[in-house]
Amino acid sequence: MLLLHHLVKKYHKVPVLDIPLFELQRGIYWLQGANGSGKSTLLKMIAGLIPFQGEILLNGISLQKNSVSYKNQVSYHPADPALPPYITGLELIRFYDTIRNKNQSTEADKIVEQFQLSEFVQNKTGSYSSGMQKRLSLALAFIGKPKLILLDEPLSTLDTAITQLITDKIAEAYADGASFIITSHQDFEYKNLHFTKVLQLAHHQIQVVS
Amino acid sequence: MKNPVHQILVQLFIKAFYQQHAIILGLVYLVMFGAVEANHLPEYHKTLIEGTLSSWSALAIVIGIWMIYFFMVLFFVGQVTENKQNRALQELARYSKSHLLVLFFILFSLCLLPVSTYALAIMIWGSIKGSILKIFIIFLVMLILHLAGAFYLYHKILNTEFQLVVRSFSLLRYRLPKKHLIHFYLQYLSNQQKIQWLVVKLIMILTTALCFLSNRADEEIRFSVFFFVLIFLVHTNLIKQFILWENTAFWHSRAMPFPLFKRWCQYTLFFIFLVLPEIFMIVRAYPAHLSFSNMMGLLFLCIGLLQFIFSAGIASDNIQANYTPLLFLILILCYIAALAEMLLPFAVLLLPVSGLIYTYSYPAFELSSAKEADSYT
Repeated sequence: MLLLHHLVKKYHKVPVLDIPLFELQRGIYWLQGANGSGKSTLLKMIAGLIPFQGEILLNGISLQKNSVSYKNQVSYHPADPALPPYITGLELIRFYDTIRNKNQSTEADKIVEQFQLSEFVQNKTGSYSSGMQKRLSLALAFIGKPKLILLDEPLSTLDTAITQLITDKIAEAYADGASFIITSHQDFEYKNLHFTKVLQLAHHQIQVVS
Repeated sequence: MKNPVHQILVQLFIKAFYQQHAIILGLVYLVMFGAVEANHLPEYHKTLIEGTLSSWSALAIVIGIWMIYFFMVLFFVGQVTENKQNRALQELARYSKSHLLVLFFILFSLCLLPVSTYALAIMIWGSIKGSILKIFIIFLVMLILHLAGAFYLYHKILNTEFQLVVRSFSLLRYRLPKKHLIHFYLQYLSNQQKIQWLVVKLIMILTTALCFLSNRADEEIRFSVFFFVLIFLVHTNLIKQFILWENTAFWHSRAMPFPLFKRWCQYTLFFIFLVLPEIFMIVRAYPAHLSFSNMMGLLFLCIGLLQFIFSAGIASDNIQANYTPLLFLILILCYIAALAEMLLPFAVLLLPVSGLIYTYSYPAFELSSAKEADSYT
């Protein structure tokens, strides 16, 4: 499904990642690593947000050669969701919905209901708490039924009930055919979420732990 | 506008651009439409357009001003895309290249609307007069500006690390020990605020010269006062940025805590030093109208506005959105005072009003600063 080929990423000539070849099949992957090991960088590279050397293919589609088709299959949730403060949550959901569903806003109401956002979605995002921002940002990642969803620290700042809701959504989306790469410093102790593999980033390389 | 994508793009780019640059655009509007009486406007613009088409040097100056405006838009767009809060814009990368370029071309057209409208007027007049080569050059410049803007935005969206490096002239880079105050200010001007300062000065000098050359300034004392107030506001805004920079980046180099009164005196001197060229030009341009009362009024206004910005900056510290409306309010009040020939009492009144704002806002400001300091520790 996902193929990383000769990936090299440097920040100011300091190497962060150097992955000769790595392949992942469909599944839910937990990406671990110490602070500064390059977890967020790797997710951003897979999402096509930052430049790098090498090639990434998703279901045979190259990010470099066919970036529009590639990006239409991937969704990324950042670790520190920052939202434009003068826009309402609903406007933002419709923005994502319109782009991801070929200029038709079809999923917005469903997403609001599924992620229990109706209480605050009409308010401007500047008034949201960090937990609300996280919920909205996570909801945005699921819009458009992407094939690969990259979640960077999805569960920090969320309460137990919402954490359960998010893990349920991950399991549902997986059942619908989506794959996940999740980075987290928290242990996942939720019965309905089973990781296909645990990956470890260390010494600029990626390894399968279990 | 039903399309949510267009709605958000208009909010993030167009609306925000015109809001943030309202003062500069207001100044340009004033020069273009407020410099002469309404019945002389068509003749005034006809003279400007014919002047632009009559010589290559005039055309070069006009294109230079458009370039300054274009870079203003470009820097703004760069800031918007780099802002973490606007990360949602990266979603646009799901559109095809042609779709995105058309979208960004339209976006830039809307931002460049004041410039392109005037360019269109020049082209229409030029076609009547038969200046084909100059029309072609203006058309080409406008097309290049729009395309360059669209491509820049396209690359900014596709690659968050994309940077348009504008290397400022290193000859003006000023490196001296920060021991002496004058060195400190010069270093700040030449390194931190170089571009803003040069752009402000260029616009001020050009517009003052234009008013002077139009020979209509003698009839419009209101315009001269309004223009003067605008100059003050732009410069006090620069001082506000300077205070912010000093408080955040260089507080240690000046061995703070520094007596507040001493700091304020230094800012006043710095401010007067900054506006000296404009004061000189205004006095030269409007010699007949500056009566003693007006002179005193402008002098008090100079100090009063700085004080007002100082206090308004503290009052709006927690609510940044209040700052621009406050500036507009003071601009309108100044204009009304000038119309009613009450500039001197108004300027004098500004000082205690600023003092009151300062007195009431300072405790809250101190509290928020203390909380911020706590969060660092």
